Parts: sequence; C-alpha cells; structure tokens
Amino acid sequence: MAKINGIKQELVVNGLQIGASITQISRGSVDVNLGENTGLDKGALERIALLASGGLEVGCWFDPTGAHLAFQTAAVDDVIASYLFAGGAGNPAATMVGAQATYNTNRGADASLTGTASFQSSNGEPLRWGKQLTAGLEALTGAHTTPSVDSNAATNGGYWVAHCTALTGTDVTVDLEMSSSGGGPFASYGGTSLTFTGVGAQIVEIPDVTVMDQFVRAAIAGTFTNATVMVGYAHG
Amino acid sequence: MIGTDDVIGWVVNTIKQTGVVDQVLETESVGAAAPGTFAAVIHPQAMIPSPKTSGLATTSMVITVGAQLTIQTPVTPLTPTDRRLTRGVDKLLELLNANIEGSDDPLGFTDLYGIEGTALSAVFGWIPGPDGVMYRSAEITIPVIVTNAYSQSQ
Repeated sequence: MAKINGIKQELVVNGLQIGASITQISRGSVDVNLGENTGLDKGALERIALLASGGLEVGCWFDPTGAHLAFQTAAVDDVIASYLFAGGAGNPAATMVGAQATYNTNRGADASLTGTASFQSSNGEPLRWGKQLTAGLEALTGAHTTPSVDSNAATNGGYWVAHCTALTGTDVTVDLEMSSSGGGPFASYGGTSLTFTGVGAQIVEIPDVTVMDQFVRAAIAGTFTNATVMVGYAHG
Repeated sequence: MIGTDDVIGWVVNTIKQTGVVDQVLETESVGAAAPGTFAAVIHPQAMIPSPKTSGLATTSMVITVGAQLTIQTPVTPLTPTDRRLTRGVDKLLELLNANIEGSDDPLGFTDLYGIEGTALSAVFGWIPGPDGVMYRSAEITIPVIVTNAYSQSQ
C-alpha cells in the first residue's frame, strides 16, 4: 500500500456506524509510559517501557441519528471502537476497548453545532492497529468468506473483532480462519467464534499460547437476509 | 448526484412565497422580464466542499445560489427606492432562515452566518438594462450546505 490520505474512513462504535457525522479524528494514540532507569555510569538517560495506554478523540457534527446516538450515554460501560481505513480487505484498522471520558457539545456563534468525544483504553490493552478482513463494513445477504489477508508472519496471540451494524434475520456467526498459505487450506483458528443476534460489537483476545498462521480470513454465516458486518484482526 | 435541483427549486419556491415578486426566472438575461415587473433571476454561483460538516467518508457541499431581484423600471440615483424591493428582500431573507426539506430529511440548511465563509446576504445597487438605463436591484447570496452529499471512494 502506498501513502494514502484520510478519504473514505469510518468509525464504528459498538456496532453503530457513525463516520458520516465524525468530522475529525483528533487523536488515535498508543501511549507508552516511559520510566527512567539511568545507571550511574551513563551520560544520558536510559528509559524503560512501563504501562501502555490508548486514547481516541474525535470531533463530530451534531447528528441525533449518528455520533450523538453513540456518545450521549457516556461511560457507563466500555465500548468497542474501530477506526477503519478506506474500506478494503487488508487495509488498516485500529480497535480499542475504552471507557468514554468526555462528550462535549458546542453551539458556535456561527450556528455550527459540533461536539467532541474522547475515550481511554480500559481493558489492559492500548489502541491496537491491525487489518480489516472484510472490506470495511460489508452488506451481506448470505454466507460469505472474506479474501485471505496476509498478517506478515505466523505469530502468537492477538485479537480479532467484529461489528454488526445491521441485521435482518435471526443471527450472524463469525469465525476466524487461518492458513500457512494464502491459497489455503483454511481452518478455524480454534478459539471463540462470535454470534450476533442484533447490532453490536465483540472482541476476542487470542491467548499468547495460540499460534496464529500468517494468513487469516473471516467466515461469516447465520440465518439472515441482510447483515452488515466488519471483521478485523491483529496478530500479537 | 446531489440535490442541486432541490436546492434551486427550493430557492425558486421560496421567492414565490414572498408574495411580492411578480416573476421568477432561471435565466441570465436582465431584459427577459416584462417592463415594470418585479422579477427575480436565479443563477447558481458555486459548489464547494464543506470540510466542517463532512464526515469520514462523506463530503458535504456548499451550493451557493444567487438571486437577483430587480424592479424592471428605469431609475436614476435620485429616484426613491421602490419599497417593493426592500420588502421583497426582507421577506425572502426571513423565509430563507430554514432547513431544506429534501428526500433526505433535511437535505441541508442555509449557511446563515457563513460557517464555510459565505453568509446569507443581500447587497443593493443598480444594474444596467439592455437599453442603457439603470434598474434598481438587489443581489441575494444564498449558501446552502447539503450534508453528506457525496460518498467518498478510494
């Protein structure tokens, strides 16, 4: 992938597709606290990585059916937020489980009606970058298997996430499949699969003892006539 | 495609709703209106993106429509202003303080204070008629922000 711009991005929070009312991502951060552990024999600081954190700050235009719907009931429960790039399978996606810290609205003197919201990571993991297995949010009318996505190397652990932003039917099930070859054969990674019976988001932490093959894809099935789904993955 | 027809149609209908203007024309010609009439000529001026209201994957647009309200009676600078002109502009500005109801409800809104730089405004003056005479006129600038007009692709 060459250099890209910020055109055609998306933000999905707990299964709510709100990118149309998000005007800017002002901070998507991976913050690592650094401690100083400089030895007496050193002439410059030595540092060591301590606890990491993540943050997400967004600006929005007030939209009662968009960002406002996602942000108005702030901070009771953790949210799963995914920031998608350009809607193509294999394109970057960042996901964070976070607690909402702020939702501030502003009616400007020029009649602009804007807001900002911020989240801080809350599940012991920072904001993490990975790849989209679906082409952004995909509208499906039946079972679907995504293209193979190269995660660059076999690794231990990671996470995978899915958002279901629309569902007409009974349920949608999503499984993560992997293979050592881009052409397969693929098999389930052997961990938890995800089932949606409505709009929502779920994330699975893949234990470090699980060896993930280099190539992954999502297998989506279920009893539905229409479902809009996004699946993302990041290796450990 | 976005609702340019809806926006222009809304401006035309709004001018008609003033109840003051005799004719609304979508033509550039000053001489197209009948002599003595109070006529409005509509002309699109600009279409520019609206970064402040665009989303992560959608582009909002500012569609600026010009409305030239002219009393088709020759005047000189010493001629008292025909109050139909000021009343028409007054009423029109009142009616333009609104959202635009389109198929996507609402389609957009008038950028009253110029969020994107151009505010709803009226400027009065004279314009030359086809025979060298001068007409009293007002140029109304109507910026309309159509939200999420285009879906982005890459």
